[in-house]
Order: sequence, then C-alpha cells, then structure tokens
Amino acid sequence: MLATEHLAFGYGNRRVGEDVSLGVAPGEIACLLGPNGSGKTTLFKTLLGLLPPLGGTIHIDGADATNWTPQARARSVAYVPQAAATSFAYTVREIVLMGRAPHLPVFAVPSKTDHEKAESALARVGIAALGARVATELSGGERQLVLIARALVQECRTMIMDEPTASLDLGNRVRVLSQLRRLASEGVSAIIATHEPDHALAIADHAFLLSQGRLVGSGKPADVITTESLSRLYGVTVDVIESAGSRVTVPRLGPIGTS
Amino acid sequence: MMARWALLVAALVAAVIVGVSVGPYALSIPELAHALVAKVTGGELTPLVDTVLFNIRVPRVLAGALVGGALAISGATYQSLFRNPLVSPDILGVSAGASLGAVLAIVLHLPVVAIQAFAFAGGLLAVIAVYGLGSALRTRDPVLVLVLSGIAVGALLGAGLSLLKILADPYNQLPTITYWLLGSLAATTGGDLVWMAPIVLVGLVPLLLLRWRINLMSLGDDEARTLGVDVRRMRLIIVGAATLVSAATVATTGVVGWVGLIVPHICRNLLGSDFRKLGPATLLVGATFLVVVDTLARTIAPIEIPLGVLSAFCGAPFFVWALAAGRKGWS
Repeated sequence: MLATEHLAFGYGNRRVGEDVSLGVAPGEIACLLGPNGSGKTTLFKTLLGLLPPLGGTIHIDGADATNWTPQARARSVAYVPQAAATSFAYTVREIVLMGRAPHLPVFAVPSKTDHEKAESALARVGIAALGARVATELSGGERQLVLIARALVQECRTMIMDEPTASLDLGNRVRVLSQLRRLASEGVSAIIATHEPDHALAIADHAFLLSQGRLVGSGKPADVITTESLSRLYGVTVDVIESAGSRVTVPRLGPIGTS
Repeated sequence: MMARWALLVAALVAAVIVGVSVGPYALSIPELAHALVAKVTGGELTPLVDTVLFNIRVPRVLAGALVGGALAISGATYQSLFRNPLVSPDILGVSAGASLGAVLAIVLHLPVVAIQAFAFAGGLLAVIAVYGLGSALRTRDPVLVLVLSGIAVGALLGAGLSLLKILADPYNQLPTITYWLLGSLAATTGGDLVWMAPIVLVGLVPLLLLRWRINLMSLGDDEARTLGVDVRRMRLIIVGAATLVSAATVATTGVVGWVGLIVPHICRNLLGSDFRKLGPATLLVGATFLVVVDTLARTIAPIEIPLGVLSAFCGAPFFVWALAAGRKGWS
C-alpha cells in the first residue's frame, strides 16, 4: 500500500510536478497515464526514494516513508524496470535471487531458504522452467516476468512498474497483464506507468492522469478514461468505444481539426 | 561444477610446482620435495638449493600468484562496478599514479624501498583524487563522472610522467624507469612479500565478503538502490578495497597490464557472471596466469623479458580469440 499527499517532486531546485495525491490500496492496480515529459519518471523516482520529495508526504504501508533507508523501502516497495538487456549474462535464478538483497545482512550470501524463495517466485509467475537460462537469451516478455519474480522475492506489497509492456509483442503483453491481475488478487498491488489506455481499462482499479506534473484525472478507469480527457491529455482525438462488453480506445489519425 | 573448481586449483598447483622447479638451476620434483621437507624439519639442505629455491624462486612465484590473483579480481570487480566487461583495474588511475610515484623516486635517486612506497602512495593518491573529483562534480550519472575523472587525472599524471622521463638521466635512470614501467618480478624478494601480502589481503577480504553484493552494483545505481543497497557507501568500500589491492601489487612489480582484463573474461566464459563464483575464480586463474607468464619470462630467452611485454604478447591474441569464439559472459 502506498499513498502520497500533495507530493511535489523534481530535481534539486527544478520542480517537475506538485500537488500529486495518489495511491494504491492492497490488491489494487493503479495505472498512471500521461504524455512523454509529463513527469511520470520523476514521480516514480520520488516514490522509489531515488529523489527526495520537494513537498508533501509519501506513506508506505501506513507509515511516513520520507526518511526510510533504501533497505527498509525495498522491503515494502519493489521497482520493476523495463526489461532492458543487462550488461552481464546472469542466469534467471541469479537475477531473481538479487531480490533477496533487502532481507540479507551486507556481508551475507543467499541461503538455501533464499534459493527456495527464488524458485517459488519463478513458479508463481509461470517460468519455473527458465531458472537455469541466461537472461540475455530470453524474449522481452520472459525477461519482464523475471523482473516481476524478482519483485515478488523482495516480499514487497507494492510494485512500481515503468511501462512493463513496452516493446513486448501482443502475446507477451497479454501474458504480463494477466500475471499482474492475478498477483493483485493475491494481494500484491501495483502502480503502473503506461502509454496504453486500453491496458488501464483492462486491468486497473484506478487510473491517474498526469499532465505537466499535475494530476488532471483520478478515479475508476471507466470514468476517467474518456474521449474528452484523453484528447486533452495527448492533444489528439481518441474515441473510447464499447466493444464486446469492454471499453477500448480508438485514436483518430491526423491532427485535431482535420478529422 | 566441482570438477571445474578442482581443475582451476590443480592448474594453479601445477603452475607453482613448474615455476619453482625450472630455471638455470633446474630441480626435479623429488629434489623439490626433499628440499621442502628438509626446510620444514630443519634437515640437511645444500646452501645452493636453499638460496635458489627459498630466497629466489619461492618468493618470486608466490609474489606472482598474489599479484596475478589480485589484479584479476580487482579487474573483475571494476567490470561489475562500471557495468562494462572491458574495464581494467587501472581505470581510476591507480597505475598512472603508481608510475608517477615510482619514477619520481627513481629520478630523486631514492632507494628501492622508497620507490615502492612512492608507487603505492601515488596509486592511492591518484584514485583518491579521481574519486574526490567524481564526487565533487554532482551529476545524475556518478559512474560516468568517475570514469571521465579517471581519464582526466590519468592524462594529467601521464603528462607528469613524460616530463620526468625527459628530465631523467638517460644513461642511469631512463633504463630503470623503462624497466619499471614494463613490470617485472625479477627483483621481488621475500621482504617485498612481507609488506605486500598483508595489504593485498586487507583489500581482498571485503571483496570476497561482498561477492554477492557486487552483482547488485552491476545493475546500475537506481536499480541497486531500489533493491535496498546503499550504493554510495558500497562503491566507496569496493573502490577502496580494489585500489589497496592493485596499488600494493603495482608498487612491487611495476605495471603489468592485461591480467585484469583477460582473466575475468576467461572466468566469465567458464563460470558465468555471478561474482560469488567469478571473484574466487579470477583469484585462482589470475594467480595461475601470472605464474605461468613469469616462468616463461625468465626461461624462454637468455635475457629476462619484461612481464608487461609478455602478458600482452600472450594476452592480446588470446583476447581476440575469446572475442571470436563467443561472448557468452556478457552482451
């Protein structure tokens, strides 16, 4: 569980955004939508403790997290980065094991129990068979699941995910999204930055719209993600239509006014 | 997996045995065993064997093993820290600083002890300067700033080195300087080992204790922090330990390149990138590599070939082969 109140964020004296009050309850998925440069990455860095907040508060699991150590924060909140290739060829097992870091003393190496936790996390996201594979040889979707397994091994209650489905093909997107939905039902909440309003409509309990560092929309995805709000947010015309019982977005090509 | 480790240990043991037995006064293995038993039990030992074996060869081979292992593990450590498999232990200027220190001592006609002390201090000071500069320049990418500071300070020290070479006496000092810069174990004595070994061990202990955490540093600062790592403190400890190790070795042997680059590469191919295995493996393979190279250096030609020359001769072609054969350890 994570919640911010009137959070201001940015780099040093350069304020990127302010007055952001958002949150995610246990077992919920929240999606953060916003155009490039709206401050999503800076906001996430602040939530993760990589940047100090410039104002307002961040509460994690009910406690004020402003002065938490990286270790304390890592036990509650896990970061799931985009599945970029790493510099070194670690095996899947070695990468997932790294999630045990916040639970181990500085000079310790992972124990048998830690190894077992890594294996069960791999099984939980359905990639138990990949343990011995070298991560650089996996597909983007598999690498993303590896990083989700690493977050589970952290025993976090909230995952912060930066465009987890970017650069994945359709099949892998669906696989990753349904894993997230399933994990949420097991109590692991997620705050997900995404460029896909459809994903928010499909899996989120809550949607937040960020524009120029301020929230311009907050609520149930079906209420927040509308033709008007998306068109205003992205500066292009987007229709939200009903199809087979669920809502989907259909962008109109061409600049505003010509359509 | 156990078989691979046994192989690595066996290779080192074999290299050490060959290293102490060959030379102008060759010793067979029974003679070696006999001499060793005699030395330990205080039995009868000819003065010639005693001198050749225990005053010259054993210290030299042990120093070679220590230097090779130390350079290799600090290379592997820096590669993880800087997230680049082509980084060598002198990226933060330790060799440049040690060279300037040693050459300064040579130009000032100081004794060997002072040359070593100046080299050690020079290596440490260079890295402290680089690290201080990197921390003072506050930017969003501390690792990149550290590398660029290393290049800047290295260039500055290199200029100082060139200047000292011009000023040096071309008949007495310049050959000594050249020889030092090419690296050699020829002058290594038991006394050198006595001061070098403890410093190297002090540096090795944290590197081996942190062997798992070093993996986390290779994910980059932001990701490591979200996994609970205090990256700034961790980097300081790792750089400090690796610098102690490499400065102590450079001070006794001069600049020996390539070991810190190719040995980690071989080990990555053999055992993968996990530093829990990579760290100890680089120690063993680095020790073996330098003992072999040093044995060749003093036996294949009538004159002794500098280590820096020979390790490049052996290392460069091997490195090209490793590149061509596959890049399993990194991408």
